[in-house]
Amino acid sequence: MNNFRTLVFTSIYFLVTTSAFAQDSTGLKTSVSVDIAGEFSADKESDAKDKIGPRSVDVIFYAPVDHIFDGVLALAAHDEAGVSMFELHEAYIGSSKIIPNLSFKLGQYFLGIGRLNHYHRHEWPFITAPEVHARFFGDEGVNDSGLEISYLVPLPFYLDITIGATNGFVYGHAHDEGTKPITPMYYSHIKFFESIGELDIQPGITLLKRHSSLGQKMSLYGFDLTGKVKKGKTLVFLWQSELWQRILEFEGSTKQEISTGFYMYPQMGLTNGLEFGVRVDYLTVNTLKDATGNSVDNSEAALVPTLSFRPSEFSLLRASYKQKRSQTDGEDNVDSKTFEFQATYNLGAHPSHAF
Amino acid sequence: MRFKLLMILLLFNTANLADAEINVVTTTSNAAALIKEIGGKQVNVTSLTKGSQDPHYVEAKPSYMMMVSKADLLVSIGLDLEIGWLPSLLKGARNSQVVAGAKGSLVLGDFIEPLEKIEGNISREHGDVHPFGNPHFLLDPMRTAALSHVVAKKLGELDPTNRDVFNQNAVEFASRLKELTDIWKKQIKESGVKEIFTYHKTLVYFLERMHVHSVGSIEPKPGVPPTPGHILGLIKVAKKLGIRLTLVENYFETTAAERIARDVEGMQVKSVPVSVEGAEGITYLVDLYKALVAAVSKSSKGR
Amino acid sequence: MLRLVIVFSCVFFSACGSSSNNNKESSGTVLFDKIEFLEMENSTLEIEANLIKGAGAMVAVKPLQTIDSGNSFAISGILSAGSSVTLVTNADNKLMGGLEFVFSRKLDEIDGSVKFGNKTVSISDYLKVQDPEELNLILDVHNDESPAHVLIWASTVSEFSEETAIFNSEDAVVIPGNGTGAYWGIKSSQAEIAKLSISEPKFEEE
Repeated sequence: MNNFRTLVFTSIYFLVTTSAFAQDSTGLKTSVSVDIAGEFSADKESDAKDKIGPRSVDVIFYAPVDHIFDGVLALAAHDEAGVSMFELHEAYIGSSKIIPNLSFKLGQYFLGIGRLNHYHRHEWPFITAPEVHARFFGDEGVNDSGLEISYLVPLPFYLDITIGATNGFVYGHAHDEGTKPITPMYYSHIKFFESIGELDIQPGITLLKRHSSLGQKMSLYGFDLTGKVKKGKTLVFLWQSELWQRILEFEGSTKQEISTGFYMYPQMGLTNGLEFGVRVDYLTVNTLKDATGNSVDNSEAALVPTLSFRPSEFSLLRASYKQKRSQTDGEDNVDSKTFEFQATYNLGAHPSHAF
Repeated sequence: MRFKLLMILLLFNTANLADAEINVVTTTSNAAALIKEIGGKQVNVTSLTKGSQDPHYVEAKPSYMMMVSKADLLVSIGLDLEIGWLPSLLKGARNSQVVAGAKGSLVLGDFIEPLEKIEGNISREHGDVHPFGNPHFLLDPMRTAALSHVVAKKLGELDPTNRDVFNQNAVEFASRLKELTDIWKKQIKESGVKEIFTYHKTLVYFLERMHVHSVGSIEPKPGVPPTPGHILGLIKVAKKLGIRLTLVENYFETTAAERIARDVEGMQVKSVPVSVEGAEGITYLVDLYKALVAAVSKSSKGR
Repeated sequence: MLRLVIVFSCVFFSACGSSSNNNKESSGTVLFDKIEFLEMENSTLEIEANLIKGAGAMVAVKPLQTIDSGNSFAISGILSAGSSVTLVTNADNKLMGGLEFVFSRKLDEIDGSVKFGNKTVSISDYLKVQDPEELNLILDVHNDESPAHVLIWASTVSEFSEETAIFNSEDAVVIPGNGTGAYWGIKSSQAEIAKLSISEPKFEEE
């Protein structure tokens, strides 16, 4: 299967780079993004792998399919145990030309929920996923196959409503096709936008529900807030934050597991492409009890100062120092410190950036 | 009786439609100013970017998507000026009337023969180049004059009842620009200024029209900030060729230009608007051209 | 005289506290291999600091981080003929609704299976390399994957990888589900358990 994927990927690569495609008049654009990342222990508690190398390679093809539809194909290669594994990240057809104010995607895509989940990892303003994101959505984000519709409500102020329903056979890291859930996974995201002087802010609210074939019900509630001040090509100020609560329930049981977490990331633009930010992560299982029924206070917290150098919109160098603390009632705190590094670059076209 | 009432209602509504403004959104304030000259009271024009903004780097804000979603006509410059943000904006606006190729889309760059079209092997190592040509053509009053007829034609397609008004406005505006351009060219010729420095390549069309030549840019490559080595090189060129004027688009810092001026006797550095509403008193395109002409013609005489 | 009374009292009270579970915590829990456990009702396990015998079940007092977490469990002991031990992970505090790894001695072989609800899959074929009498295994249970991803190593390995595992559910047998709780423990029937521990997963997905 891996060889087949490699063959498909290699074939597409060569097809695209032949002269016939190079002179393509169909509007096909190809974007290659390489994300190189490394982590190194700064103390003995760190579980860093102490290595650096290509973390992922994203190849995105996008073009109008015809006068109505647009198509996107995103392939990604990741290093898994020393082997490059190619997988399909996104493959969808969409349009914003059929019904006024409405667009849709049909196929496989990253769900339009929260803030980070809209973006490929190499576009994030930090190197690794916040604790809450890694726990609830995995290291990269949640993608699935289905239909997503977004509607720009015709009001005097900006209000965008997105709803989607996907297969829900799998969620998070899965190694097979999963099993049919009791109900498809469904979600919605509502976002607003406002400018206050030079500051642009975009708050959003998310709801996601999944009812797996094994009777597990998951409900995710989120609030995301992004704020920016941009002058020319300099991002003078960025605020990015998400607050999430997850509720896990099981059929036949009255017990719930409720977890709450957030991250906040303020960042300042310095001079000549330099940006500095500090991310604060926090995650707790609100309902954690020991076997005798006593509540167990617990938390995972992290402080991640991050320095980025962005010579252009097509390249980036970044370093951060992650200090993580795991606390559980009755146990010693576990502190770990890790140095993280990242370099990303983009070859070819690049899809234009949303807010 | 009912029939008469119906006819009156229909006439009233028709009159209202005829009086209804065309809702136009432009990507730059210069394009907005051109639309206003031709469309007059028949258009309601909004520019996505302010005159003080660099149009290469614009955030695709949701508020812009809202504006574009309600537009009857989207006027853009093209030549990849808006490539970094307009596609995302159009996608979020979800208005099929104004997408590329639709009736409500006007790309001004499609109607001119651009300068600085790049042939041969180009890549990002050459900086932020515009391979299809320099997009700042609205700074040339004569190209603007020619485009006014293009704009009139498009507005006429969208509002046929006012086609004649648009055409008349275009004729008058183009004629006025031609008269003024002759005066401006004479003023600059009399000033004796023939060669200058600029910061970016925004003024290429304006300078070409006025027979002034930019012999060096503060940016070593488009979009790349100046290095000390490059500044030293420009100082040498300025001394050798007697360059005494540097024009800096007013959304850039003048620091590097002032550094050159410190070492070149008589060198003047002028921060100039390159967009309508990019400075006080620049309300129309004619104001903008006048300001640029004054910046050149009222400087010290150079080569 | 007073001193004698005090000394006698200390001896008396410590003797009263003595039983086969002589490491009982004051809360009614027991300490085994430095982990606090709560015995299930009707359990008749004999629990000492380093050995468990008898029949019954016990659940670790400290819960797993979350239901959908990955953990590594080490279990060592002796399976005499007819005995069995079940490692239960990601269950509720009654050890229900979790993944059950059942190891039993069948003649000269260890029988192994994984249960979830009413589904059972056999993993006996993968345990043939084990000494039939001694159980010395390390199990990674990644309940954050769907279905749960399980790897089993002999406890003598020094490198924990998919290649060194004697069992990898991704290549071998699909685990029949995901545990629905945040507790773990054991059920034993006449097995002698000498070691039981929990840690972060030994194997990390890239």
